[in-house]
Amino acid sequence: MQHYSDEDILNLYRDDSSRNMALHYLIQKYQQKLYWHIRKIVISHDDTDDVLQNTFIKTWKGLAGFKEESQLYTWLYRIATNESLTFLKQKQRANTTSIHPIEYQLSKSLESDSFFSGDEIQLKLQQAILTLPEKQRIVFNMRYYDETPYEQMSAILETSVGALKASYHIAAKKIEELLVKD
Amino acid sequence: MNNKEINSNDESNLPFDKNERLSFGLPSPYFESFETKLRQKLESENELNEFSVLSSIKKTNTFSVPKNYFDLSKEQLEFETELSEYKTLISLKSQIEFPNDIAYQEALENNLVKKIYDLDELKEFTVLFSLEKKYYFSYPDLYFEQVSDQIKEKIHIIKPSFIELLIEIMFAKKIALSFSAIAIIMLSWFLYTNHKTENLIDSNCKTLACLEKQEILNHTKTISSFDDEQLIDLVNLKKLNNQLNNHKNSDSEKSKTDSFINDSNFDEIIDEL
Repeated sequence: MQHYSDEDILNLYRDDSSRNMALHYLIQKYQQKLYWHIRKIVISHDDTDDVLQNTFIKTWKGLAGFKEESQLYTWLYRIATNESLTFLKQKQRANTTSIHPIEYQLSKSLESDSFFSGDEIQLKLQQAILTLPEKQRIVFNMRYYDETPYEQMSAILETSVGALKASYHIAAKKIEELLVKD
Repeated sequence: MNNKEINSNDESNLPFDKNERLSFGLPSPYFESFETKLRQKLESENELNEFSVLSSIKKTNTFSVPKNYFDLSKEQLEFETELSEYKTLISLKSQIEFPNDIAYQEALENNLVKKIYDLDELKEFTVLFSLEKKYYFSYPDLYFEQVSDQIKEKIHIIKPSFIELLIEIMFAKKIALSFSAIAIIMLSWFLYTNHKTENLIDSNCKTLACLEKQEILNHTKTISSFDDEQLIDLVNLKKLNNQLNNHKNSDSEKSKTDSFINDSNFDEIIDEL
């Protein structure tokens, strides 16, 4: 599979005759990266599928107005993050039967999730991550699992590097305490 | 060697025979092959003597070889010659681009430094540090093969219709603002004109006396349906007097009006109006 750079994809998009190819290459290049980024936020595969599709649709609609003030991948990740957080808020609002926050529900659903293959300690780790506030959870996942550089995270999350470092440190400390406690 | 000692006519003293004293060396069969080489060279030059143009052209090698060709190691030469009979393999080999070694080394160094830095960050969290950094979530088989088609399908379905495009144009920001301004102006004018025509009676005056002649004529149908008592109730004589006075400039007319009003009955007043 030939990999196109972001600039190539944008150039293909600007030409009417190659616009469909641009969509194809955009999806091929980013579907897996965005999938895992979203999955770490919404946890469930089915929910991730919905959010991923919405992300690409929103990207496609907004690509004409993309001003290239940031990198394409930064913009994509930002859309994916916002769509994921919006999805969780909507899910929380829609679920009127439960008094617990959405993260608690996600944590409980992990125990019976067929698409989770971790052992007990990994389950505890995921449940500990779910106790973190939204933004802190995203920062932790991006840094711990994806090893995203702080500068890149800063562009995506529109937060300063210093704040991100502090956030990561606090998140890691909280998780460590929970793991040790159990 | 002392120059005084050398006598060029004295063959035995010529330094050439005393080479054991010199540090210069010669290839061993030099003199033996010298005459042969000289004869060959003279022959080749004599061959071209009859071709004046050819013999005038300087003999230079105009062919070149790839850079560092002669620097190829023995192994590389062997490798190149092994493939020489397999033309397809050679053509395929040229399509593969290998990364520049220097760039790879730099990238490797940067990656290693980054990994070490990432690990150092977690060192104080012993449990977290000890866990394998693996994400234990999975997805259904063939998911990524199918999702791109689903996304493309959805994007093509969501093409805006003509009506949606029209609405988008109509309610584009500038057009929407202009439309709102026009609507406000129209509504204001409508309310202003309706307010004036709909109020038969001035709210301050509350009687027909305060109405202009034209206004009364415009609503004759309404007034004609009133009975006498209703008409009398609508007229405030005092106000009517003032209204009439305001329209006439001269005192005489004013007094005429006063006397007319005082002396006339209601029907005459209405007829006069």
